[in-house]
Amino acid sequence: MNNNLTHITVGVGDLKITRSPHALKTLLGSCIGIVLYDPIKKIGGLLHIMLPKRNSDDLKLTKYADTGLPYFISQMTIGAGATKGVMYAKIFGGAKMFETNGKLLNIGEANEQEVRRILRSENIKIVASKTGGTKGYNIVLDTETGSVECRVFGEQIAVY
Amino acid sequence: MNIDINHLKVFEVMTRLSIDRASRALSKTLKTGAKIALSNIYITDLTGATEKMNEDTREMAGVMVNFHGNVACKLLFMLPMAGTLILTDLFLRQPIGTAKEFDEASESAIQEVGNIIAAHICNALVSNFDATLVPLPPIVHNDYAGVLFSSLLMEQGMNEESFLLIDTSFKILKTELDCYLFLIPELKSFEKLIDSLGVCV
Repeated sequence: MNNNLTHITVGVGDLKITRSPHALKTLLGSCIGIVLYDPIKKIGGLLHIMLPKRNSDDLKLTKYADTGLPYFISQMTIGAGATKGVMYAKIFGGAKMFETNGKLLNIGEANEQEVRRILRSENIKIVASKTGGTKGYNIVLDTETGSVECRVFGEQIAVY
Repeated sequence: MNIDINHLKVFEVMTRLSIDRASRALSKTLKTGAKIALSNIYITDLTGATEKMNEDTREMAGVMVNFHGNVACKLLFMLPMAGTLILTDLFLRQPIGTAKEFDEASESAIQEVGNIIAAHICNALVSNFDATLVPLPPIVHNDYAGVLFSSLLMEQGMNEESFLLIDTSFKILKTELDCYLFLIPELKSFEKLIDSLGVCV
């Protein structure tokens, strides 16, 4: 990872899109982090979704996979000028996390399934993924190369 | 309920009373000065709060406590893994630097801190403000700071976009311990607390 990159942090239910030479980073538990990258124009985005489907009139589209991901794709293409045909995806997170009552919150798997379904329907290829487990993920997208540095809590850094 | 600055001031007084009591109890247990100080009480949204915390990628040990009753809230106390070793030494009355790795004793120490803080916050709210509050057993979990914080917000975040967040600084005198302590009452509970005081703001 290039240390000269400016790091931009993404919160839960948040979407950020940027160009080289910036890096996008987030921490994930049961949420899924979806990276979309245009390798020609070096435009990268990171969406941090929390739930698979929007089941209320919540206006925050980027909190949910079913509303956030189509919005993300349109922001990448229409908003930032990325080309959908060359864009690829990488997905991370979806762990089973502890709730405050000690039970495991197993929303991660449903999040991942919904994300994969939408990307498939949009014909965007998932070229790398690291999902599941019971620990958090620390991911950093390098918009110069499209590579994602991922470190699962307690494990070594891996590059995807 | 539209929470304004006057509501937050009332809640600030209530929080100060609660955490002062927890500070005194913790000082007694650790036989050293432990000071939990209120940093900020504010209404925030899920994205804003987690974006700030996701800046902190340190590996932490955290203890979460869920409170049931007519004033539901959640508590998260967390500190870096190295800090848990100092805490272990303080609990076991041994020289700082004796504990070398996070083990059952460290887990037990941080769980006990969660227990003490939760119990004394409960006592303060019950005795001063006629609240019904029961802490559930503390859950210890090790992960990144931002992940622990997100887990705390997750259940409420499914239904609500705004949070009342109580941010504190936690210091153990003569020892560098950089800790986080967050309290997150449900907004409906906040209304009940205000009502129980008979306060018109």
